[in-house]
Amino acid sequence: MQKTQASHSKWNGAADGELAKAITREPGRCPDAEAEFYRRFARRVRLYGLRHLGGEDPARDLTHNVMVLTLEKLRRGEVREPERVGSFVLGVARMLVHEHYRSRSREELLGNDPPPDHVLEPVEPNRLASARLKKCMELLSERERAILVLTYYGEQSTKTIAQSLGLGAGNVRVIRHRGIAQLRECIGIGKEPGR
Amino acid sequence: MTTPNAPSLLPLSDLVDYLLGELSPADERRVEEIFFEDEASTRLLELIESIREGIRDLVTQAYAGGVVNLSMVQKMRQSGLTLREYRLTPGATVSCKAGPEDFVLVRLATGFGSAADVTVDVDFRDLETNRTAPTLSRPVEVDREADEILLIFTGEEVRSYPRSLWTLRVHGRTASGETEFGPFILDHTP
Repeated sequence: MQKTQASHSKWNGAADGELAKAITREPGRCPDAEAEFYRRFARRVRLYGLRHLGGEDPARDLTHNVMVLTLEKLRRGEVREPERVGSFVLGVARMLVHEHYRSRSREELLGNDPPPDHVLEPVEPNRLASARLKKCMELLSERERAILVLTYYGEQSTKTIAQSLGLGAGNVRVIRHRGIAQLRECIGIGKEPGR
Repeated sequence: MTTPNAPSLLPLSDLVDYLLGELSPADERRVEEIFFEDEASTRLLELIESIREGIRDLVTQAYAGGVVNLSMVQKMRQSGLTLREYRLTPGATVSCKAGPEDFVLVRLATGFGSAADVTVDVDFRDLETNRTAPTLSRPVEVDREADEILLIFTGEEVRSYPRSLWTLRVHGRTASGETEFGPFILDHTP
């Protein structure tokens, strides 16, 4: 598989629509634009897949299939509004998740076209260093820490956590958001906008 | 596409609830339509997801913080973690011998009812030297369904203590004012 380095390409700062138009304008001859398009959208599709399919493996399969289909449509000039390509990718993801639950085969959905193989590296999840996260967790209040662990390790719903701790569900949500905001600050990735 | 330092178009709270599947269908669709066109929201979602994975990893690596209910304990056991369990009632002394387990679970069982602002004070006495340590006080959560307080320590931490007596007293605010529960006593042998 040919791997295209998108990180320093001229396309990094391009709008989504510009990327889509470039891929349509020069089908198969714009690998840097395709690589940047893939880097940008594969992450979004993976997150969508994690939410709707509930695991890394199905999310990875979904990402692959959505990106194959989207890139083929772009190359063929079949995306009618390239400036709204984000909506198009989301629509494809929704359709494939819907079809996933109806158990249609990949071939039925994608046809037999070979995938544009030079950009299809799987998206790897970001990993936080455990020592760093542990240190940040220790800065939280007992309640914030408890709610985060019950949520993410315990996989308990807000309602269950609320019952367990004798709190209201809204209160659990507020405490969870505050805990994550503090972790985010401590980890040092980005800042919450003025909200 | 948004510029690299642009703020997320979606608030953190929406993104947290989205990944948990706790938004209404309409809000979920709205969030998806925005983050599919917003790089900053995507990065924030990735961070939340990495925090989720990081917390799962931490507990698996014997992180004892934040474990407060029996469902959670059951989940830990199902994941293959080993917990040695001690259930303490007021006034009774329970012998505790630490082994190579991942965790030691101490269950304080009495009628905590709706006590609020609950803290546990721990007095430690070294039974070999008879020395004591300053009282350690920390806020705790009550598992309201079990009506118990669950304290979890890593096996490594417990094993580091000498032969000792741990006396735990719980304080909380009840309808009748400040109330003490206990004492709960652990007789620890390394």
